[in-house]
Amino acid sequence: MNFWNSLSSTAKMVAGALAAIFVGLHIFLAIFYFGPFWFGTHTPTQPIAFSHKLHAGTNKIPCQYCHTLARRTEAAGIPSAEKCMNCHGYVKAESPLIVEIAKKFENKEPIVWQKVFDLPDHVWFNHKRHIKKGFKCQRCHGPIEKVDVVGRSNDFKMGFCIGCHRDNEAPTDCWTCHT
Amino acid sequence: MGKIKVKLFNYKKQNDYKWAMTIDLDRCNGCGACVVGCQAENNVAVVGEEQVEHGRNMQWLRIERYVEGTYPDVKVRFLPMMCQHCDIAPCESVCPVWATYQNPEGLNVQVYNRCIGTRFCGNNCPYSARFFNWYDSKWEKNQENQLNPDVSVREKGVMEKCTMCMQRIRRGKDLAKDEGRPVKDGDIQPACAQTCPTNAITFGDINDPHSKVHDLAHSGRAIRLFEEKGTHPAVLYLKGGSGNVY
Amino acid sequence: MDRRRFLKLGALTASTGMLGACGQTAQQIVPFVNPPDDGVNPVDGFWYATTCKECNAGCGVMIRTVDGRAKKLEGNPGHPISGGKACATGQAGVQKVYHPDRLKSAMLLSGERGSGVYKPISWTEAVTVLSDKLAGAKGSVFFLNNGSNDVTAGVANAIFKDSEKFVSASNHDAGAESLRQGGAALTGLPQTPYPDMANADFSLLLGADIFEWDRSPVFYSRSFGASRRDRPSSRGRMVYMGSRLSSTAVSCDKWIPAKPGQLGIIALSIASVVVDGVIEKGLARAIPRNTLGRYSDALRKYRPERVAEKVDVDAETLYKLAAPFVNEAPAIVIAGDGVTGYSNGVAGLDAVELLNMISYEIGKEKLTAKPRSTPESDQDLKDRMLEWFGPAPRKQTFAKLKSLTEKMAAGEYAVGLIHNTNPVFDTPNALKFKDALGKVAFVVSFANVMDETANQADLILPDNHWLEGWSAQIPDFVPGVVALNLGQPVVQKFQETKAAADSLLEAGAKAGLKIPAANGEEYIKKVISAFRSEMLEIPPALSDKEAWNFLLRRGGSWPSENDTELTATPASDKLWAFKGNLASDEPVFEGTNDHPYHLHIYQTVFAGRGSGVNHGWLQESPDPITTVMWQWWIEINTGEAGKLGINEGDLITVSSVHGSVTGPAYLYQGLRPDVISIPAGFGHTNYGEMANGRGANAMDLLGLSMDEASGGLAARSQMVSVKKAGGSVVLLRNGNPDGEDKGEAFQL
Repeated sequence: MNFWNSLSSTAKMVAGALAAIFVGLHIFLAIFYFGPFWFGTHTPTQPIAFSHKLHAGTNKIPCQYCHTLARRTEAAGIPSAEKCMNCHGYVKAESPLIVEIAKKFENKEPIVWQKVFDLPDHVWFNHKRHIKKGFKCQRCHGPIEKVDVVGRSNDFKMGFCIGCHRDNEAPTDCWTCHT
Repeated sequence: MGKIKVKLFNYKKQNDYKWAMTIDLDRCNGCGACVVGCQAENNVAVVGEEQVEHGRNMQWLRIERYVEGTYPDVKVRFLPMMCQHCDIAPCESVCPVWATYQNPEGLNVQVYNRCIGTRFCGNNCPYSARFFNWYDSKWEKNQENQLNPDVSVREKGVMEKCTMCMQRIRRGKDLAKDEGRPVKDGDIQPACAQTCPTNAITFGDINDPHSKVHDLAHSGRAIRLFEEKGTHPAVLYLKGGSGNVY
Repeated sequence: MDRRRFLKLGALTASTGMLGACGQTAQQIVPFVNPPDDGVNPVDGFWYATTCKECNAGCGVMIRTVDGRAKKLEGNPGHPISGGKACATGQAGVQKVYHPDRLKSAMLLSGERGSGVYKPISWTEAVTVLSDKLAGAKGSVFFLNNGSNDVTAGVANAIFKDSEKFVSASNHDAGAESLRQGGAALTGLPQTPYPDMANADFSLLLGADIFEWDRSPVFYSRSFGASRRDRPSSRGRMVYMGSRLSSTAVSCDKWIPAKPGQLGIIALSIASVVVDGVIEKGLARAIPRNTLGRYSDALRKYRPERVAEKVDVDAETLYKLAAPFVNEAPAIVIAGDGVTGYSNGVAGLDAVELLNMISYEIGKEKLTAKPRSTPESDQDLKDRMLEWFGPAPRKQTFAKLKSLTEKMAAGEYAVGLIHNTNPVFDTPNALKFKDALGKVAFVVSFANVMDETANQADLILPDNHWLEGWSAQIPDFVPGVVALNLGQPVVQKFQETKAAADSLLEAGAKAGLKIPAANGEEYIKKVISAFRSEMLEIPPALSDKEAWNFLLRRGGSWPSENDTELTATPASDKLWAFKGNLASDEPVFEGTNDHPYHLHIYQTVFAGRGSGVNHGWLQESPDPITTVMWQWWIEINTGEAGKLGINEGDLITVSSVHGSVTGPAYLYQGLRPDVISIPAGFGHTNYGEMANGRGANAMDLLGLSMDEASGGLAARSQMVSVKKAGGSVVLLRNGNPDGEDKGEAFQL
């Protein structure tokens, strides 16, 4: 403290300002890069209060019954309204949420869902390859069959991908995922 | 802190393919279809007249033309030029952050999210095949609708270059894997090769002795540009038939 | 401490503020309402077969669409013209769907003509306006397009064909007429000949810029590649004769800068050597000896020694050029604007066809290269099909356009319909098309971006982009077969547009005119059901609906691979009946003694006739020869420029008796010293921000010299003068212009 006290008030001010800028910059960078994960919309409100717990958990409907594209294409795909109506034409057809879906289906109007799991634009991910290899959806998406409202249970940072790729001797060439 | 595990590539296992390209200079007629095809496939930005003045145009693939001789004995030659995907690439050794390196399939990789924009690589490339994003790519109103969803749009401050249409290679390998077979010759065509009206550009696995690109590379007409620099490009040019001219 | 905390807080708020500014937008997922069929991959995208309409050639193409947006164009591998390949202009067509300059709705003129003041109107209103005008016109209507035989032309023809006053004219590239007539002269078939370059050992290109013209550069590029390297036995050789070392000429093995307007004489001269050689060696037995004798006599005055000086090519070279025709056929001649661009075009083509015929007869005895033409039976089918798609191309001449313009100027037309062409911009200034258009009572344009012609219209009914609507076309330049190209909507309409054919049909119906079908799609279906039995490739078991889907999947109808084994037309009776009056007229040039240079206007690969100038991809692609980007230039021979004290980039003024243009000089070794060459398509005044004010319009220099025999425009017969205008600009060129001799460094 002696050193600090020995400084002139101007020097103290300058040193204080420098320290503040230093700390501020770090906080800024931290928020800039990780903010989306800290403050991002983990658990957005969906247009229809769909419960994965009810469908995949209680009723044990396989994931790929609805997300059919997962084994065929890069994207897992959100099921079409027609898919919903396949069952809900008969099951609980009078429930208010189902009526809402049915109305949209008849008007040929898509249901616009909020994205929960998202990767940056410079990352390319192929669901098909991972499903065909035999990975469970829960490996990345978390215990989705146990929650009513889906939130992002994983921040999908590169370490997560690379760690798994190394463990399974999958390619770790950058162009496997980035172009 | 979890333990850090470093595993090197098992090259023997990974190195099934070695991609290469041949460009037949005897067929090339300089029509520029490949240039526009590349631009369409890879979301290459149009920089505008003002930036072109500064030499900042970005076409990954360009057609160089050389005028030799004087009237009336004039000869003009075309040479499509893009990243040569050198085996020993001058760009790789100068990158401070390993944003560019040789991948196990013989391609020269540029990782946009790793690049910090020092531009050393562009400076060191003897083929001038690397391009720097001086500004965020802009598209005229509505034109972003045409962007290819398979290719990321590069942002300000990173280098970019020909990827041999990595997205198409990936798709080709993906389909082959589904069918449990190696990639067949001709399965994968980069945008330039697919569009080339004279069939001057051939792409394939040079390790496959039955591939067309292997045949052409061993036809005796193949040369590499700046061979004396020891860069060993994966792009081979097939010389014109100078011994057989009119 | 307070200050510090303040600074810290300041930094924090600043960073959160930044976050707000560049925060991620809410990501939404819009799933299908009904899922696509099994087996298709909506993530990779869908591929649709359709027909490219960026030029008249009619290449079959495939379009990749993802999320309902067109992403990429590739050639349709089964198509006889494109063969799975594409050109730069065609690929750029995809982005034109999303062009910022596209018109957003129908528009009615609300100011003076040419003022550009329009008010948007609804389509119901627009159709009513058009139908009122059509009803009032009582048939004094004209239709003008780019010479494409498509649905709109067919519909216009069908609605008004009973009216005596109705004219359907076309504004297409110069030279096409002469080529057709020239082909007719000896083959007896009035259509553009298709020399079989792919199988030729030797190709002589007489001013034929086959990679730059409208007659499918893709097809000719494929032929070129195949001739060069696809035949293991030998490498095809090409020689180009013409006044400019064009990008086609560059690809040939040798360029011979012959005198402008003399290529016909050169063809005759070569023919004289060939005929004598054939007689001497006893080749081509099928041709009666006395016919050959008559040819020999008639051609004697064109022996190389006699014409060498006149055509500026030494006799030895001419003998050398004739040798392959006698010794090592297959050899062919392809004629282009270098022959047809002068007033003696058709006369020159007689000689070209004679050479091709003789070469064919010789080649028949060896391996053949055929001067391709449609067999006569197919020609009949083609003619009958063409009746559905507007006047046959061979009737659409520049002379017809000229007489139409004169009638317009005399105020004879009540309604003018202009589709897919920009005559105010790209016809010769001397035609005074704009003034004539001003005398037409009501002008309707179907342009979907504003251009110079649309700006003179009273009503603009923006047509769909070709990826958004139905189309059908009979391509003129198909090698030896009859094809029907089909186009289908690949993406949803991006703007409030309507197919031109639909607008016409709706307005016609409302006006009480007889219409051939309810809409364009129905019209195409009618054509197909009329000709279905003759389109052999449709399996007969299919129902009409299945047949329609079958054709859409293919992208049209053309004989399968096996049928296209060309039954080349043997030399017709005209050849045998030759009496000995083969003549090649002297070219007539327009200009005074003060105009020492020949004007050579050409289409660049990227700008075309002007449609590529509003497109970023095409403008930023360096021109193959000059490597200039975004700019316009005037080419002059390097040595000649030295004499005049002109350096690269110096502004020079080129003047003819009709007008003058000023622009930067590009010094080129590959140009005859007595020629000035200028790229067409620049100098737009009303074609969107990207194109306006770029360069000047070469058409300002051009007069109306014509080849009387074909009715084609003799676009190369203008003479001009050059002088320095003072000042200079920097030409934006690709790469390092000083490194022009790098070719040696690369040891090519």
